[in-house]
Formats: sequence, C-alpha cells, structure tokens
Amino acid sequence: MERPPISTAFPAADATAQVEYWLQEIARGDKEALAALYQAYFRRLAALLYPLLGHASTVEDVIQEGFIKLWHKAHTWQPQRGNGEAWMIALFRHLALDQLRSGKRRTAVSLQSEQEDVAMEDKVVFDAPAPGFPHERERIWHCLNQLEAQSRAAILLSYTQGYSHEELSQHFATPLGTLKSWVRRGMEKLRQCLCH
Amino acid sequence: MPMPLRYLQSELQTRLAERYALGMQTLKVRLRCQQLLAELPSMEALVIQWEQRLQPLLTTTVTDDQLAQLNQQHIWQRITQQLPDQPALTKRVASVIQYWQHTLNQLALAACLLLMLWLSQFAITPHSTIPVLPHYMAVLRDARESPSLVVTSARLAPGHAVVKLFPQQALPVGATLGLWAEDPKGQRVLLGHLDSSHLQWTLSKPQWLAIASAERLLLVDSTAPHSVLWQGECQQLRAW
Repeated sequence: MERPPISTAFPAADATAQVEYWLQEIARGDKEALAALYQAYFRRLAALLYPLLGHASTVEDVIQEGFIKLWHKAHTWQPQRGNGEAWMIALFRHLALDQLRSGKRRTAVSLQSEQEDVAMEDKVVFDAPAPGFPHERERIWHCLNQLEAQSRAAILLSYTQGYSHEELSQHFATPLGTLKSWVRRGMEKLRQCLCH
Repeated sequence: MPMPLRYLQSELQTRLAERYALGMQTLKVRLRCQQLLAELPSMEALVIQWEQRLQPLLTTTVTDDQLAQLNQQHIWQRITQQLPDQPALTKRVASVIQYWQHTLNQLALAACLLLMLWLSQFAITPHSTIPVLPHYMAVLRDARESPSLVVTSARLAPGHAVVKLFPQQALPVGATLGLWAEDPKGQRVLLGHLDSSHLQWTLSKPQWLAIASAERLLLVDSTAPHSVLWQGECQQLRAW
C-alpha cells in the first residue's frame, strides 16, 4: 500500500524566534547554527522546492546554493525586514524561481492535459490546512475564496507552483494582457481583504 | 546608469512588487526587480509584506519517495566545502570531538569533553563568538565511579533551553530512564525520560530553572524510582 504523503506544514510561530536566533549566530560566523538550521529545515525546504523545480537534482542544487547564500547574507536580515523564517523561506523560493526562469525548467510537473490541470488546481485549492500559522492561513484562504476563480487560480498556480505569466496565459488559453488583469484585480482584492 | 524616475511612482512599485512576490516574471524582469529592490526600500517593504501574507499558502505535501531521492548528508558536505575555513582552534576541537565519538571510548570521551570545555572557556569567552557552549554540564558516574554519561544543557534563546546526553552507547538497551535535577535541599525535578533513541529534548522553563539551581543530576531507572544508576555534580560553565 502506498504510504501517505508527509505533512510538511511550516512550523508554528514560536519556531520563528529559533530561526532568528540561528540567523543572528550565522551572521557571526557560527557554522553550528547553520548546521542546526539545515537539520531543522531540510525537509520543509525540500517540500517547498519540489513543486517549483520538479527534479531531485535541481532541488539539491537550490538547497545547496540557498544555504551558501544564507551564510553570506544572514547579516542583512533585520527584524524590520520581516520575520526571520519568512525571510529565509523567501530567499530559497526566489532562488528556485531564478533557476526556473533561467531555463532549467522542471519536467516532472507539466501543463499537458486538461485533466492534469484540473487535478493540479484541485490539489492546490483544496490542500488541507495544517498546523502552524492557523490564523494567517485561514485568513488568506478566506480572502482568496472571495476572488474570481480565474484570479484565484492564477495567483495560486503562480505563487505555489512557480508558473510565469506566459505559461499561465497558454494554460488558460487567454491573452497575456487578460491574464495580467486577472492577477492585478485579484491581488488588489486580496490586499483589501487582508488589510480589512 | 541612474534609475529611471518612473520607478519612483508608487503605483508602478506596487505592481512590480506584487508580481515579483508571486514569481510570475521572466528572468530579465526578475533581475531588474532585484536591482530595484536594492535601491528602493519602499518597494522592498511591499515585497516583504506580500511574502508574509502569502507564505501561509506554502503548506504542501511531499512523498517519502521524493524525499528519499535527496541525499541530505551529501548536500551538507557540498555546502561545507564552499564555506570559509573555520578558525584553527574550533577546527582542532571539532576533530578531537569527532575522534572520540568514533572510538566510542566512554571514559576518554568524558575526559576529553571536560578538557575541551575547560579550554574553550579561556579561548572563546573573550570573543564571545561561539555561543553554543553549554551553560551547564554534569558528568554522571555509576556506582563504580567511572564517568559514563555526559549531560549538557544550554539556553538557546529566552524560553528555549535544551538538554542533551551522550554517548548513546552508555545506555542499557531497552531501559527507560528518567533524568532528574536535585537541588541542595534534596528536592528533585524530573527533566524528562530518555532511552537510547531519545537523548535530546527541549526543557520547560521550570525544568531549566531546576537545572540552574541543581546540585547534581541523577539518572534513575523509571521502573525502580529509588535506584539511582548514575549521578554527577551539575556545574555551571558560563553565565546566561
């Protein structure tokens, strides 16, 4: 029997203090702090990067590059630049996006058939909430559910799966300008809802 | 080349920040945005705001098979190869630790650790660069007075303290043991249960304070609460 997938929800808010402590120690040149952060976040980062990159070898490359970048950049993190965990996750996610856009394209995740599209959207939209950030997660899902279906799908596919404007335009068989309008309207509504 | 003035328009910054945070742009536009983010703190703040709003969506799932394809140890080796060399003292201490871990010599390991910690105090304290040095340590001895187990405890951050025991091989297989802190009046506080696969855990605040005020630490067979198998004086290594 196939084993169920492992939940890789990002950890609860109290983990943030630990990550920020590690970042400060890494900034002072403490390799043990880097090792501790690596140990604690390896699986979660892998889970984050897999849907974007699709290949184990590329995931490995980005994790390697990300931790080296983290080592050199940890001193630039400041509390006013957001919480440390969010900062770190953004660093890895943007590295993966740069990798994707540079042509090292995933092949494991494709947009080939309508069936796959629907399945993938279903997976994204109905992914069960997990522990950690329960309030924030509920809130953003509440706001996402207020959006038009196209805007919601475009935002989710782009943010969680790394699809570009062009890819989504092809995927939805819609002109690029229309696609950008969906996203712009969606983000505007999302911002209003989240700030409400 | 100076930055075009149009990028100072808040509407344009908002739009670019949204798209950058979502990750929709081409590589060329992304690289341009990264340059702008370095120059425009207001745009960077917008990106950070969006990142924090959207990150709760990143809950995802991954299968065992996918994770099994990743070689965590190998990636770590590749990372460490690209980091600058450690200072000589730290390197030497690390190699000594590694050597003793491999020999599994319990007596020598405990003695080496004591020596290392003693030396580290002199070598590291003035620079305060290696804060992972434990705050408390106890070398637990059995009835024959031979050092068997080392317990270290450190406060990593306010409200976050850990305790760790090693070497694992010193523990009787299958035994469930309780680690206790005993203060000078003989009052005991249970710090947690351990077995050969559970040798490190987080302490609650009362448990951490119990270590801080402990005279000695005790390892007790949980099935026979009055039998102390190992015990040792709890020593403070540095202030916290």
